[in-house]
Amino acid sequence: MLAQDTRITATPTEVAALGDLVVEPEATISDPPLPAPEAAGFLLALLLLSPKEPKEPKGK
Amino acid sequence: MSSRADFAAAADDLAIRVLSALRGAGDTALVAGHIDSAPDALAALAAIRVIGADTFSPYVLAGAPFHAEDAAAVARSFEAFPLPGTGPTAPTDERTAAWRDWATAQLLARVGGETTWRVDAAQPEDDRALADTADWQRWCVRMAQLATLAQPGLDGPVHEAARGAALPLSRGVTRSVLRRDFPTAVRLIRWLAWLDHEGVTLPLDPLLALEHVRLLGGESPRTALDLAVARHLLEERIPEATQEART
Repeated sequence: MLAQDTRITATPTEVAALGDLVVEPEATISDPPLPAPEAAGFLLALLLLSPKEPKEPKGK
Repeated sequence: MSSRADFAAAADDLAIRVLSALRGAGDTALVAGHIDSAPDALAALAAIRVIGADTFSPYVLAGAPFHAEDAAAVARSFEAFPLPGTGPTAPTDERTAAWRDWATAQLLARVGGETTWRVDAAQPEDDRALADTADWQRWCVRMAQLATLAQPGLDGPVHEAARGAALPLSRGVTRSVLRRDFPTAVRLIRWLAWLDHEGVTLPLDPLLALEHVRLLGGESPRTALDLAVARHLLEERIPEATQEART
C-alpha cells in the first residue's frame, strides 16, 4: 500500500480545509430545478399522446 | 500542499468506489485501492474522513468481504489528520466532526474484527444541543452533517435524538426540498429512512421524498451514495416480529 512506511501529516491549513468539507453548511443559494434525463421520454410521450388541436368547423 | 478542491475530488472518487462496492461490483480492498491509485496521498486520506462511516456501508449493508488493508487505510487517515475536540467547550462544528469520527471508529472496530487497527475516537461530552429541536431548522442542518451515522449497527445519543424527532426531520426534508438544497434534503431523508428501518412511524413517506430528490437533485457521487444507503435502509426494514421483540 502507498506510503506504508511513510507517515503523512496534514498542515493546519489542510486540517481546516478538511473540517470545512466534513461539516458542510446548507446551501445559501437555490438553483433552478434541473431536468432529470429519464423524464425526457415521459415528456415526449405526453407530447405525442396529447390530442390534436380542434379545427374550426367548415362551412360556418 | 493539498487544497479543499483536491479533498473534494478525492472524496468523490472514494464515494464512487464505495457506491460500486455497495452495488456488488468487485471483491478487492476498496479503501486501500483508493489510496494506491490516488495521485495525492493526503487527499486520498482526507477523503476517508469525509466519507466517514459510509466507507463501511458495502460491508454493513451488502455483506461485502472486508480486507485488513482497508482497516489499515482508515487508521492511516486518523494519523494524518488529528481528531477534533470533544470537550464541552469545543465548537459545534468540531463536535459534529467528532461524532462522525466516532462512528467511523465504531464501524472499524466492528467490521475489522481481528485486525489490529483501531482508532481511539471518543464521543463528544455532554452534547445537549442534540436533543434540542426547538430551532428545528438549525438542528436539521446539523443532523444532515451527521447523516453518515444513519447506518445499521450504530447507536448512541445522535440516534436517540433522531428517534424522538421524526417531525422535525420531516420538516427539515420539506424545507430543504423547497430551498432546492438537495444534498441536505438527501441527508435528512437518510435519517427518515433509518427511522423507517427502525420501525418508527413517520409523518412523511421517505420513499416518495427519495424519488423526488433523486429525479430533481442530480447525482453527485456523494449524494448518490447517500441515496443508495437510504434506499438500502428502506428496502431492508426490520421485520415487524423483530420490532415487537424489541419493545
